[in-house]
Amino acid sequence: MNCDDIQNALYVYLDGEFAELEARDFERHVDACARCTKLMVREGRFLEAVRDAAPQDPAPAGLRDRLALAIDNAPSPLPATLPVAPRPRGWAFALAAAALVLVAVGLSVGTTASAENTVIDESVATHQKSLPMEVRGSHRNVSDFLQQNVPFAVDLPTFQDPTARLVGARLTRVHGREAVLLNYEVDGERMSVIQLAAETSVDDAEPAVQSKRGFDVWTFKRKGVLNSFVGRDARSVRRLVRAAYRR
Amino acid sequence: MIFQPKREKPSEEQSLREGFQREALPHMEALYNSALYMTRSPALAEDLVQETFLKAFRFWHRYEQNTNCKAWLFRILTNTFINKNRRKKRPTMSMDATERELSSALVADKSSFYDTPEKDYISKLFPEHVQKAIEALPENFRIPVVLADLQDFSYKEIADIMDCPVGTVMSRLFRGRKRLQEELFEYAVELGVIPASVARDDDGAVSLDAYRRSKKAAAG
Ligand SMILES: [Zn+2]
Repeated sequence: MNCDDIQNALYVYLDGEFAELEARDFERHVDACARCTKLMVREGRFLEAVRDAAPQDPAPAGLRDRLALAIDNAPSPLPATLPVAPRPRGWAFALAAAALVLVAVGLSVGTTASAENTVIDESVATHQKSLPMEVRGSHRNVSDFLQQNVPFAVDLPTFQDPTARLVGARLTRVHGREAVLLNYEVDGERMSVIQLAAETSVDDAEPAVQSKRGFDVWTFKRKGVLNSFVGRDARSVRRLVRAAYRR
Repeated sequence: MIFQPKREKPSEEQSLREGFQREALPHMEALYNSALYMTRSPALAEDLVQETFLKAFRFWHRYEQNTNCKAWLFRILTNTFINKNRRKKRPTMSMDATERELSSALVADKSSFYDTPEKDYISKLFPEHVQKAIEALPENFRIPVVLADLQDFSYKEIADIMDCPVGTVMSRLFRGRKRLQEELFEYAVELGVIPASVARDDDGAVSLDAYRRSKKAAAG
């Protein structure tokens, strides 16, 4: 390391974010360099002084009680209970679909295979329902709506493709979990994108496809969000999946 | 008519509510304090904290038990704040105005300090100056500074909270702290917070241990 490296990495060092080895490298230079030693003392003292002096104002006296009351009055946080037994028609459908799919393409999305199948089934069902959107219009509107209503960042796909247009979004449930349904219009056809937070923060998973009830269902995982794309036109859906995954 | 299933056993809900009270509510002070730096207004900070807790409660079943609850709450707080701020920019809080106000306040104080014979004995920055300087930082820098320097979150945690790469956290923190220094440095030297001997590049060797020790002690 040279003086510039020290300059650039000084906070990483002071914040204790260096690995042991890098820290030793860092110290070796600083110990031997009077200029950097001064720099570090200066920066360290300053940072410490800011931390010491920055006021930590206590919350107003009644806030805790007001919060407790607001939470008492809030609806139950339990996921609304879905009917446990699938309705007969849906069940028959699922069986038929399962029989048709001979090979489930490897979906290493960090959930069990049956959970993935549930997600895929429910994605198709959701797509087929043509649910009304809760918010329509621009990317901005939709992303504001999502940020307000979903606690974590939804990975709203954007496409350079002029044939793909975001129509709107609504909250939904997939596999008993909070999910977001996004509708796009692609060459005049409706495409659904369903997103839910992945169960664990494992790595991204590449897009994989299955066909269900005449739809291609693509799933992939990106930034901790499980994505499922459903549409009729296999080619354009595949193109958009690629674009969304690589973004 | 669809059969409406019985919602849930009260005991299950009761234990969720109790878990929330036990795990989430104790972070109220930290959330409020940071909300104050973000919004710069006690009323808005209180609203932000309330909204954060209600949202957190709504999604409490998604919180994984015994993981980092504080970071989880801060993530909701930060997202809610950023989103609200983006929707309605408050013209009264122009950054330039705040910065001007801050500089003039500092200038006024500095001049009075030249006249104070006891200045050598004072070794602390004034809280209100530090607060103003932090509040004057642009949002992108202010949030990581608050999370790192006031809440002691690690880079990784801040990246998760702000939903950005660790590299972005590092560069924003770097620039945010440098800006704070521009505002407060001379004043810190005058107060003796930064010894004159290290204030400028010269010669002289001092040990780094003091700072690291204090950091370790604070962490422990
Ligand atoms: Zn050096």
